[in-house]
Amino acid sequence: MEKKEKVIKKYSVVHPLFDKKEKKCDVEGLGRMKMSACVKYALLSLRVYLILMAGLVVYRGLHELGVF
Amino acid sequence: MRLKNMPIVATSRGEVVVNSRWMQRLMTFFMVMGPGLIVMVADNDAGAVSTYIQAGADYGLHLLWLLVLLLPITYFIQEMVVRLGIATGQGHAAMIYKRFGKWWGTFSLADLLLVNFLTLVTEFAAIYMGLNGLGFSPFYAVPLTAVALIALVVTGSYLRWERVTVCLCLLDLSWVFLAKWVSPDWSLVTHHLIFPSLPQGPITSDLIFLIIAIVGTTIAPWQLFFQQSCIADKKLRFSDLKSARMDTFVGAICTIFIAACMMIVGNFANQNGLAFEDPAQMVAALAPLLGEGFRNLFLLLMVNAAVLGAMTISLSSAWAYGEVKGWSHSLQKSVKEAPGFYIVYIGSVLLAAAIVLLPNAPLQLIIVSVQVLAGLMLPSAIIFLQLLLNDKELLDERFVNKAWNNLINWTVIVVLFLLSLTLAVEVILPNAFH
Repeated sequence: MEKKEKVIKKYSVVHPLFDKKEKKCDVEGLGRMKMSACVKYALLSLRVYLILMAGLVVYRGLHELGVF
Repeated sequence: MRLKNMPIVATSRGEVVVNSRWMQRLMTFFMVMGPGLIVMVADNDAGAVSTYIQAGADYGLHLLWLLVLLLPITYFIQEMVVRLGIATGQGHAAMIYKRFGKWWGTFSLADLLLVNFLTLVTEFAAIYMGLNGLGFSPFYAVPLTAVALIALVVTGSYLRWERVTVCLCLLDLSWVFLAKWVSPDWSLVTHHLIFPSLPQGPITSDLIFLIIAIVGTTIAPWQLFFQQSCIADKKLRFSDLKSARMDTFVGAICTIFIAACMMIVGNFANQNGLAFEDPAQMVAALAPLLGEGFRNLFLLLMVNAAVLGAMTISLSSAWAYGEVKGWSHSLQKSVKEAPGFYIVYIGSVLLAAAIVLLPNAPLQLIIVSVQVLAGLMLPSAIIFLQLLLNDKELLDERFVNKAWNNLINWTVIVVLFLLSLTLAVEVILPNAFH
């Protein structure tokens, strides 16, 4: 009777640090993000929020200094 | 040959051969694992220890459900960072700079560096307290800790750094022993984990601000920058996305589990009517009831939490600064190859260590500043993240947000905006809500 050799499948696992470099989504040639309505409003609300917070910090600073 | 049938065979540096699909998936996970676990566990830093212990001491087990609620939120936010990091191979600071321009880039970087440095000082303050409590002179122990933090990072090997840091993260799981030590009523713990409830009595501003502090502690701005840079440094591939998500999810479970253990320990102080100002004072008061072993393990874990926080926060600054400046910025590089990157890391660690050794250092002012700046930073960092994840010019279909991602994320962003605003207003104008 022919002796059948059991074939064991092998799977390779390579650590990311030692693997070939892959091409990533390229950001270099894109420049700045397009100002869609969503982007515009999100950045606008962020600006308003930051101005409000900066105002509060200035108010607190002046208050601590005894200006009012 | 016997080797032929072995389940795992290392063939060359960084490569193993396994004989089943299941083993292949498992090995891939272990190789990818790191950034998610580290960022999540390191989030339970000195400030977190203080916040969760305080929550347990003030309100018992009543706020445990909040941690369960924060689990998916923290995961969803960090999962976006995973996608962005893997897709672009670049850090968060670099992406903001390139896609939103110099002004937003500089603002985000300056805010990150400032809030990170101030947080770093609070980490060293906890190291000072913890080591002092363990009987070491802080004037030797704090500089030695700073040197150890530097030595761990400047080896020029990402893997060496990651392995040691993962061990420190696993040590953090020992909080479970402290939780077990105080013998809580586990059925009550389970009840409060599952069923949301608030402490009896009126809802006070103190309770609201503690809830805000817990949310702010669990989701911190530096985490976004750290994990994306870490993923870029580890060179995770598109095919690693699934494993990286799992890594982040495992990390999220660990961080919430550890936070719950801290709250359970705080609850013990609540049951025994102990009053304290900081965790070191609390453990000193608990020592006569629970023994010196409890006290020493608590202080050791507090130092471990602060060390993990100090290392990851300083690294997130160094990576972000290096990315924006265009310097070489990798843990795989030696100090000679990436001098700027290491100077930022070493400089911030040494300066923070020196500040806490100064007599009369303004620690209270620093803690308040951290809260205000973190309040400013978190909404802006998350808005940029959300916009970048909807950037179809940059990302392909695999990585861009789906409609359900956007629905969840915008809801989280609005809630975080309101919470951050409320916290910052309270810190800046203490009487605004009274």
